[in-house]
Amino acid sequence: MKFVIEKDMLQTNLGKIQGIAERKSTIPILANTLISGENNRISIVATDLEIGVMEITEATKMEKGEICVSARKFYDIIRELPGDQIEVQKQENFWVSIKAGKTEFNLPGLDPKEFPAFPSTEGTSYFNIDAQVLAEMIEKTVFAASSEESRFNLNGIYIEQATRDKKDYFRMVATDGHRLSMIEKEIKTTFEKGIIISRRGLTELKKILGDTEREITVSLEGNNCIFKTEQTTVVIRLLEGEYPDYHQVIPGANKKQVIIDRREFIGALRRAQVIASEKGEGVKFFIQEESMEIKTGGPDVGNVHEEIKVIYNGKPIEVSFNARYLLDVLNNIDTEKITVNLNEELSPGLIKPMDREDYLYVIMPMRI
Amino acid sequence: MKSKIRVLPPDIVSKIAAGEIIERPASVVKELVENSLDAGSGVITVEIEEGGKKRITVMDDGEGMVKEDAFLALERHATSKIYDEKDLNILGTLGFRGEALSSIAAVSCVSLITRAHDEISGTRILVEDGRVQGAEEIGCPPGTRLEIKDLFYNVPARQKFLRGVQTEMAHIIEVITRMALVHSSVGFILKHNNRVVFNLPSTQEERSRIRAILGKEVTTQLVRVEASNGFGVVQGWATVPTYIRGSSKGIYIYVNGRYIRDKLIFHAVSEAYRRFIPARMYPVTILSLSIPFSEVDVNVHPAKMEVRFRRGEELHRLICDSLKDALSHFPTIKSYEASEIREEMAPYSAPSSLAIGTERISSSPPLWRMTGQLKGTYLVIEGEEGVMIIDQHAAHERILYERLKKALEGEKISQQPFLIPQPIEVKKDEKELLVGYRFELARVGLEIEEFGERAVSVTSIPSFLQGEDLQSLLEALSEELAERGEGGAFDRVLDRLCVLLACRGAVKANHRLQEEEVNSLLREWEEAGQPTTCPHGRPLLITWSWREVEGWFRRS
Ligand SMILES: Nc1ncnc2c1ncn2[C@@H]1O[C@H](COP(=O)(O)OP(=O)(O)OP(=O)(O)O)[C@@H](O)[C@H]1O
Ligand SMILES: [Mg+2]
Repeated sequence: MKFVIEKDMLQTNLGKIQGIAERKSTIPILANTLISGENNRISIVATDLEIGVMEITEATKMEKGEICVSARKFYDIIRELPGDQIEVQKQENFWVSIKAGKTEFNLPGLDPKEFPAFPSTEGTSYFNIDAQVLAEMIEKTVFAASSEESRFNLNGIYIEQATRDKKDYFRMVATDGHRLSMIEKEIKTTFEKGIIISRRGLTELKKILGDTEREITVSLEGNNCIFKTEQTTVVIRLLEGEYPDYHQVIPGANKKQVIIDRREFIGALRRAQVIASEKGEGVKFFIQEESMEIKTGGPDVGNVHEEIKVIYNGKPIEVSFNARYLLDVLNNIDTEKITVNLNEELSPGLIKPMDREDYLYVIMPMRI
Repeated sequence: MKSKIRVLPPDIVSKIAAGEIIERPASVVKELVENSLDAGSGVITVEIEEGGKKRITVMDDGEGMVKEDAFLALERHATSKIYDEKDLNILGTLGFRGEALSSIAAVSCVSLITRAHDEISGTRILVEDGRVQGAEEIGCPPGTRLEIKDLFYNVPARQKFLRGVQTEMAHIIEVITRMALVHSSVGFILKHNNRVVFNLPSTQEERSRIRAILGKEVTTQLVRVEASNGFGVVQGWATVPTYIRGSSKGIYIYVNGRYIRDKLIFHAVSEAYRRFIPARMYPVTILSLSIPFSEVDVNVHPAKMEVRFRRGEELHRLICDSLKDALSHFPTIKSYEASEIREEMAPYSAPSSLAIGTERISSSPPLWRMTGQLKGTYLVIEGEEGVMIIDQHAAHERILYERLKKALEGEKISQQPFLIPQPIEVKKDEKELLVGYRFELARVGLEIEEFGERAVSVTSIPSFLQGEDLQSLLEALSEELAERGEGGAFDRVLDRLCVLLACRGAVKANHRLQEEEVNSLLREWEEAGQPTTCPHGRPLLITWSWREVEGWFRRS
């Protein structure tokens, strides 16, 4: 096996798979990448058995074959090489030589046959989604998913086809039990039932496909969800389990609606957080006609006290939230203003970007 | 002796704070000992079996009762201590409702033996199911002996709520301690399961009584408090500011001989010590107030633990000034540095809005500064007096532990409820344990509900446990709970629970802390009274004074 390839192209492609191959795996071969070449195209594959990536790219001077080398070392070497053409060739005993101009490296490799087979990527039915839209959806939900190890289903993001006002939506929901983030885009999917994809799966997906301008083709095959562009294929194993019935916790809009300037709110919360720096310390809000008072710190800690202008004309209400849960969502909203709907002191609050219906966030108040 | 007891007319009865008097064995002991004190006894002997759940006996050598009175004493609203409504305002005795004995008799088996001093024989009455079952004339020494057996035998709901023998006994000891501290001329003997717990001989020297109860160490640190103003007289003892404790339990306050807990008075005490000691630390004080009976209303709470003062501000001033005055004789007291950064305490205002806590200046700088972190685990802190290395996990653990302990005592703890309650699978026996402790768990902010055969649903967690793995947390918790030993170990189980939760919630070793996080940790450590060990008993810091450091380098 032998091929010649542009350095930049190889480097970019190898960079994308690092997140998958790098994982400290107990199965040593998974830290490697499998590179196969045929017909002036090579495929670069990495997998951690949950997520698999395959990059297809052009190469020249091709001699058919396969190599299997440490993904990390290969990448580090490529980055350091001078020039812009690189020649890769298989040697005895799975060794691989890498040449650029007058520089040559030799890297030990493994038997390519030991590398796990890449799952089938021929989904039965598929739909397309703009890569940027998918990336946005991932970004606006993953942070709310649980990172507790044993909460398998909540570690994932729930993805389903929803219908609202006779329109079809592609919807993603994430929750860690304390707060919930939901985004939907008017796209007709082919999902017959909801699926759960791990938080890490989607995070990696976004890293790999997030900067393409292209459309992504999404399909399901057995227990896998497949995301494909011409060059890249990402296969993610679905999480098993029931997703909790999240519909019932989303409060309806009501009269106690507060309109807040997002930046101002972020600033105030950051300052409050300095004091409430202990994990999970709460911040108190006292909302009254046209103003919101923000207080932190019990008698034990220092305290921050700040007031910001808001638009509100309901009854005065006092409520406490975890500042980080608020910052998480505020940093993921792009509108200038947000709306917060509150009901009672201890019932869930609903946060939305102002004048937009595609994104919502539900947050449970604290008792302090 | 003439008969003394009369049944109160209904219009007075209706003016007396009603409610449940008998809550646990200690309440029985309190009522009986108070009666003995009212009867002018010289020695009071209390014998307890099984934490009072089985038997409580109180014997005295007081004035006793004649036969008619012995019967009347067990009736509701029968008392020798007040005769009409006016007497409510000039109360000089601990009892006045005529309710204690009848309430006790309603929930236990009572045997009353009494002999008035000038009679030649005594009377014995047995009461069961609230009715007199038998009475006879017998020979006995003058005084009164009340024996209470099988408390709550007919109120299973109450009986269920009784704690272990040790816990109930601890309450009894506390009740007697409170009375014995200020009645030093009366001898007290307490026995549990036939073993003497304490024997306090009658003495004229108040300090020897205090020493016998609270120990030598405290006693040597006491200064005399004595003051009066137009409002009343206060006298007693208070520790010098270098002797302080982390709990307010050592503040004993008596109003006209009656032990009370009162926010207003606590505030006055804290205020007097504020300049010397850190927040949340308390002195030990034994203060007796004598104020005109018309100034204080004891008739507001069935157990008489709370009273109402007609002129709160005067009282506040009296106590605060008397303590300040007593402390001013100690010029050597080094003012505690932390007080510099503490804001003035909220001035005492109307009794309705008592502010006990202290407010702190917005993000006041701590007295210490972090200069580094070793192995992501140990904080190197530099202060005016020296340098210390703090184990961040152990320190945070201790802070959380203190907070949890306070939560168990009823203080609020910040918690994060779930939007979607979290079902967690557990083993069947684990489930039962967890559900069995759900009230205690709820007090520390962890709320769980039964959820089918093999699961519980978690509805809220203390906020410092956010992100903790619930499954493994509940497993560890039930393991702790399963180790619960014999009945009396209940408190220890709760303690272990706090240790476990604190350990889970504390910042881990090998975790870089931001400067703000370190500052907040240091502030809280200060607030917790600068403890030096973690809840497991391991040291959480080591310190070197600058002098020591300079010594290492032979600098002078
Ligand atoms: N140890 C005792 N020695 C002499 N008399 C007693 C003793 N215990 C009770 N008595 C008499 O029995 C009466 C009833 O006692 P009880 O404790 O029920 O009511 P009280 O003390 O008058 O009011 P309270 O309900 O507030 O305690 C008392 O008023 C007192 O006269
Ligand atoms: Mg009484």
